[in-house]
Amino acid sequence: MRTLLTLMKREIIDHVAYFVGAAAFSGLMILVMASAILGMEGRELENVAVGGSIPLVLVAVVGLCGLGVAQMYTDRTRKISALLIVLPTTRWQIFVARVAAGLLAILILVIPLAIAGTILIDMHAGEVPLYAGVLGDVLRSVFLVCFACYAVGLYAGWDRRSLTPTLGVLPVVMLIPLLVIIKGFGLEVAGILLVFIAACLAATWCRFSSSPL
Amino acid sequence: MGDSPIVMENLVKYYDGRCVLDGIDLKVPRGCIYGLLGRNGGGKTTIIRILLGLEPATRGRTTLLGQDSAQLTAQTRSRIGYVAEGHHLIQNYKVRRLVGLCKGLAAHWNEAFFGHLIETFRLPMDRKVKELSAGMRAELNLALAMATDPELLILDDPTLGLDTVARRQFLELAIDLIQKQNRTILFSSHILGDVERIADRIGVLVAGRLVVDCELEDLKSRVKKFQVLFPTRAPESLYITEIIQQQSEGREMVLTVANWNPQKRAILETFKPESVTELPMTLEDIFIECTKPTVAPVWQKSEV
Repeated sequence: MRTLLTLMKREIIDHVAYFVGAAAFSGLMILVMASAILGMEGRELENVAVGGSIPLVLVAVVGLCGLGVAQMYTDRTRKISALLIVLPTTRWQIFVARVAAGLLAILILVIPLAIAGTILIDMHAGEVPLYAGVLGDVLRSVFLVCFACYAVGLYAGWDRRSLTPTLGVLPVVMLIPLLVIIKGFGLEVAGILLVFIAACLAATWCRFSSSPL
Repeated sequence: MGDSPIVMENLVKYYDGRCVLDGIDLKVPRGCIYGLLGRNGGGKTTIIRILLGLEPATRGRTTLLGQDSAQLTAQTRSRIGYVAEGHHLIQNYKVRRLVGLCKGLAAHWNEAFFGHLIETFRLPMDRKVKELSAGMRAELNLALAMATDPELLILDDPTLGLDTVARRQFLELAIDLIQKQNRTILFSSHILGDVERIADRIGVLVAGRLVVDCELEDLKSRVKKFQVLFPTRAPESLYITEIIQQQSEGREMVLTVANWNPQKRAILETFKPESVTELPMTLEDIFIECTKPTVAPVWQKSEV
């Protein structure tokens, strides 16, 4: 456990900009959400909320994909795992700590949104036509979309020796939120995203565990 | 296995279809300081990287402290110290942060000993690793490896890139540290003087094969070089086994032989040479003879 925490701490300090960015971004989204809900009503609110949040979601997912790429790419170029692996660690521990740090960044982004969303919905209960459990569905989808984009970043970051071709994963990252926009927040989409995340993580682990360090 | 912290069995490694290691069999006994010699690109680093599980072998098996190299646990790794060729430390970290990271991951950390090393090496804790000189990086790497009191220490060409003064200073400190504590050490280098000063057993890698694996003193005593003068033209073959090098010009022949013994001398005498003069050989001479392209694996442990 101590090893995992040390490795996680290293990941967080090395990529602190992404964690600060996630917190700042979450604050910005809360601000947009709050000003929209407090200042508008009904259809107008719906349009602004959807229209305003799509670009923000896209920025968030690109940022999280960037975190995944940065974690793996800097490891490879700076030979970080080559040093860590000769200390009392294993590749599995390095990988788990890395993913745990990524999850933490996602939670830093999503949890404040969840809290703010709950408060705002409670404040305006009845004013906005929402079905019960909408917040849970939205947050689950946001979390899974963020995680999926992060997992794509991890995979792409280790795969490429040069950073430029990694930009090739950006269309994939853009398509993931579109899946939710088109198919909605249902369990079906959650299932697809979970399978996608598992596949990305498994493929990344296979590469990471078998590559020369 | 218990008496051999390092074991390699039929180790083969191919890179892009090119054979880098060709069936290496080696056991390093506990408490031994083993010097692995070879020319640049001879496969020394590859052996070490495979041993540490940094890359897979194409074929064969390697174990460190009784555990398969590909599946070393964190607990086993905590008993191994490693100084990498080129000192792969995280360059953009400050020394203090790197030390903190290594300390945080170590199962055992000898703070007093590490402090002593840092003081001896005069390492600045507030500078970034990339700002250190090559010598300082080597010293930092050694200090980090030694602070965990490892039972097995692997040094991969640790003096590569150091100037003569830094190399001498590094080696003196390393020898001092090594002699104080009875531990198994695998030391690879292409600088013969370094190995000669530290190792008590050596292996020589040539074209991916281990052509020598014996004690240093054995090696020195068993390899002989002779200048032989024949009354007429030198014969094409002497029918002596374990000839490392044989060069003839007219009636003169220069012969380097492994495991020289009375039987081989008797065979040589049948050619009725006019004179046989033994030429002095340093480790460097032996190494040069061994690494010439025509050399076959001539003497390993079983044959010495």
